[in-house]
Amino acid sequence: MTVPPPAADPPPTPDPVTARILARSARATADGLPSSPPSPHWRAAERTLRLLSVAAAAAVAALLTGHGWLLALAAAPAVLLALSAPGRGRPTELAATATVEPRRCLEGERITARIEIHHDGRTGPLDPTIALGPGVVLEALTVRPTGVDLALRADSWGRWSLGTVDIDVHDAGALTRRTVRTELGTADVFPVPATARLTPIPVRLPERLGEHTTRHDGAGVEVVGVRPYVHGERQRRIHWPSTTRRGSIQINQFAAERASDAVVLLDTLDDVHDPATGLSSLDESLRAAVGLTRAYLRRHDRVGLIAIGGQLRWLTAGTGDRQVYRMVESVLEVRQDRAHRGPALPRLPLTALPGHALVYAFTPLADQRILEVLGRVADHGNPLVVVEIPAGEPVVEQDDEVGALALRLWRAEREAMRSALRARGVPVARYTPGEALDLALAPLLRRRITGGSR
Amino acid sequence: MTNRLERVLLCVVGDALLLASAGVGADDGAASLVGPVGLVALLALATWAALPPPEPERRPTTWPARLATRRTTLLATGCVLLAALGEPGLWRGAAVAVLLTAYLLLLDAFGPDRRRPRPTHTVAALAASALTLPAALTDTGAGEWSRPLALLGILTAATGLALALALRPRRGN
Repeated sequence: MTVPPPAADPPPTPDPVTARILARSARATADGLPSSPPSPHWRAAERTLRLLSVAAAAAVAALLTGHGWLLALAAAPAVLLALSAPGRGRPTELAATATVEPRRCLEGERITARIEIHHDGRTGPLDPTIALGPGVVLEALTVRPTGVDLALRADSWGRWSLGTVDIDVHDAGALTRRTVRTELGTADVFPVPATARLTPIPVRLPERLGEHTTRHDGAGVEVVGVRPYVHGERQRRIHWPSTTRRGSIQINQFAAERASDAVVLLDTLDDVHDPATGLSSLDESLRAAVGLTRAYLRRHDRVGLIAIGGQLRWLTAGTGDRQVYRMVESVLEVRQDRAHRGPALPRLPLTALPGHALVYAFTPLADQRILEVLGRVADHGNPLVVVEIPAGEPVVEQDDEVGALALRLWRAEREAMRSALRARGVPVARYTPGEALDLALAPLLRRRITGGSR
Repeated sequence: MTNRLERVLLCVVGDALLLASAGVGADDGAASLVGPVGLVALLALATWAALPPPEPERRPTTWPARLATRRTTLLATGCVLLAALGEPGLWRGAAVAVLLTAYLLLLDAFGPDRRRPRPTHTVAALAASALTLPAALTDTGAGEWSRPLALLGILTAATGLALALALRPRRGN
């Protein structure tokens, strides 16, 4: 019996003050990060303007009309103003410090920012406005008498600017206010890797000891056959059943075990968003690539990286757990590369492309220039696998005949790209976000991946 | 629920302030100038303006939008100007003064700042109005010199208020 999941509680309704801060912060976020510094002076608050307006209007009206009783209307706001005057308690020095933890986290993890206000007087309520950076979400907000606590979240990997917080500090009587600005800095958000365990290997492997079984004889642990005994070989390798059957001493034959080199080639030429799910192809590309990288690193292989699109980024093949972090850190800023993106493609860095290294190209196949890059890799003689990251299909209305025709052309163009790759002997594996990468790579285990010839 | 009660209270006090300022039922009030239709329109406007506006989704750029964000201030000031059109007696003058003070204090309490007024401040504000009103309505046999004298008095009060507000703090004092 399936038990339906409990209904999620609706988010609590914020109190009016918090709701106002959130609405103002949403407006500030939409306007973008502020470029000009806030005024360093104390300014009249809304309450001051209201009381002054009423008192002044009543006094002027009393003078103009000669109705002395109107001064009674001016008296109350004037007294309220005088009693709320900050006097000598108003701070002369104001500063804000922000503590953000953690600065490095995974997608969807909570980042907390604690902002403290330092001053040398008496202050009233704090009124923050938070202008968040792109890709950052405000989860919770707490305004304390001495500061503000924020809970932030980034749903996509990248090096994100967390934003700017402008805090209006009121004096004790809430008649004047002054703005203190604090920058929250940046946070490195790492992708949640896709689940992957399979590590397909090419035909030729470098001469390094590893965990992949090759077709050559060696000193591994996998038995690949038996052969007649040669004088001097170790007796413990004798295969007794064959020896008894054939009447001569037979020896177990083992396969050599080698490490593999893999290079992840990231297509950052375009970031395509699936219209149906909203998933970003760039997000999914790196998640899948990190999952595959971890699978290879677990088997002590070496993995390198090349990111094509915008500024060329590459990392020579390396091994060890830290390599995955080095790789991710080298591409965290690819989203800011739009200014560098042009029609010309950079040359492939041969240092990052060891001979016979298996190259995995993660691409949405949205930009035809990637075919040129893949052609260069194939020409270099490296075995190549294309992992297609789905970018979704454009949404077409039911009655839109022109749109339907355009969709057919769009599908045909993508199919042509796949066919062009397959015609060159390049396998194309289709990765589905949310599913294990192994499902896409499993067909590659049937045979070893061959490369071109230089 | 509390929020709704606050809104109703602000609307009721704002409307009552408008009606008292316009002098409904009196012969010398502004209500007799605008007529019943104008009064209903003013009342509808006051009901809208009595509530503090929500935070706008976009920064207001036009004058009407900017004025709309200051509508509570405009209502209080407008009621003062409306009251200036008539010459009410002691009780109506007292009602306007009390309602205006109440509206200003309610705005402090239920407005965006949510600043609970201190009881001493409330009492002091009402006492100031209560002291000023009978004195202002007392027949003093004012002559030509009384208006400049009143101006001098107002300027003195304004200077005192400005000094109280502009008193700069000094470190270490």
